[in-house]
Amino acid sequence: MIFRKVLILIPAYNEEANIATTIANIKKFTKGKGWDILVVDDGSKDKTYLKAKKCEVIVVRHPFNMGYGVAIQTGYKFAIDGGYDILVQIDADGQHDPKYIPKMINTLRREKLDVVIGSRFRKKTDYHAPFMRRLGMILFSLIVSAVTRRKVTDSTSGYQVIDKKVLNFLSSDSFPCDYPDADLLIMLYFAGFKVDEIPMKMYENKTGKSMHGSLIKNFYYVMKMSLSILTIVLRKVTGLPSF
Amino acid sequence: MFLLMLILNLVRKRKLRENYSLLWIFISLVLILIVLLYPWLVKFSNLFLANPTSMIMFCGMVALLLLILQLCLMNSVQATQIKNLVQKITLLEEKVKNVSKKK
Repeated sequence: MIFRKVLILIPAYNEEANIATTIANIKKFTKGKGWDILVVDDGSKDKTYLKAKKCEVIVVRHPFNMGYGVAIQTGYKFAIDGGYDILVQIDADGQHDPKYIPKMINTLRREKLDVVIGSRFRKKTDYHAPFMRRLGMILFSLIVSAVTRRKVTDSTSGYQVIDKKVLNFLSSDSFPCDYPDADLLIMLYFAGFKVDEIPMKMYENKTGKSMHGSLIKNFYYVMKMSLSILTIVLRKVTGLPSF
Repeated sequence: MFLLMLILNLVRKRKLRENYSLLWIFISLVLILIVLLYPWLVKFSNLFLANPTSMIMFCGMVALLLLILQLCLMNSVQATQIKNLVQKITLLEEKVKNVSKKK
C-alpha cells in the first residue's frame, strides 16, 4: 500500500475540559501510523491552547475567535501547505469516536470517494438531539437528498474524511464559513465531487455546548442555511459557477 | 451645505477615504440642488401626487438605504479579507515557530 500523509484536524474553541481526552483517544488509533494531529484553537478564552500544546500535537491559534468554519478552513490551508493526502476532521468535544477513522479512510480509498461523512442517522443509534435541532437536521438532510439525488441522512455532521483534491476547493473564498454543512454538500455535488456517508455512533456533548445554542441562533441557522442553499441552486440554474 | 463641508473636512483630515466619501458628496450636492431648484421639486412631487416635503423624505430614505447597502458590500469584502489575513497569520506563526526551533 502506498504511504499516504494523513492529517487529523481538530477545530477547538473553549474546549479545555475535553481537548486532552479527545487527543489521547485519537492517538490510540493513530499510534505508529505517522499521522499528524493539528489543533486549530479558534481564539479560545480558556486554556485550550496550552492543554493541546502539552499533548505534543501541532497547535495553531487564531488571534481572535473567527467561528467554526474559519477554523476548519485554516486546517484545510495547513493541509495544503503540508502536502497532506487525506484530512480527517473531528470535533474537539468528544462527540466523535476516533475508532471510525481507519474505517472512514478505507472507505474513501476503496470506493474512490472524495469525502466520507460519519452519519449518526444512517443506522438506528441511541443518539438523541433536542427536538428542534433534530427537526432541522431532518429538514436539511431531505433538501440535500432531493438536490443531490443521493440519500443524505446527516447533513450537519462535522466528522469527515476529505481527499486532498477537495482541499483546494474548500480553501476558496466561496467556502461557506458561517455553517459549512448542508450547503457545502450541495456545493460539493455541483462541483462534481463524490460524497458518501458511513453509519457510526456519536456521543452526546456532555457540556451541552453547541454552535446552534440559543433559539435565536437556531433561527439564524435555519434562515442562513435556507438562503445559502437557495443561492447555490440559483447560481447553478442561472449558469453561474456555484463556487 | 453643512453636510458637504463636513464631508470635505473629514476627507481633508484623512478621516474619511475619498472613495467612500463620493456617495456622501453626491447626496449633499443633490440636497443643495433641491434647495436651489425648489420649483422643480414641486413639479416633480406633483407628478407622484405627493407634497415636496414627503418627496424629500422619500428620496432621503432611498439615499440612506443605498448608503447602508454600500457599507454592507464593503463589510462583506472586508470580512473575507480579515478571514484570509487571520488564517495567513495563524499559519505563518506556526512556520516561524518551526524555523526558530530548527535554528
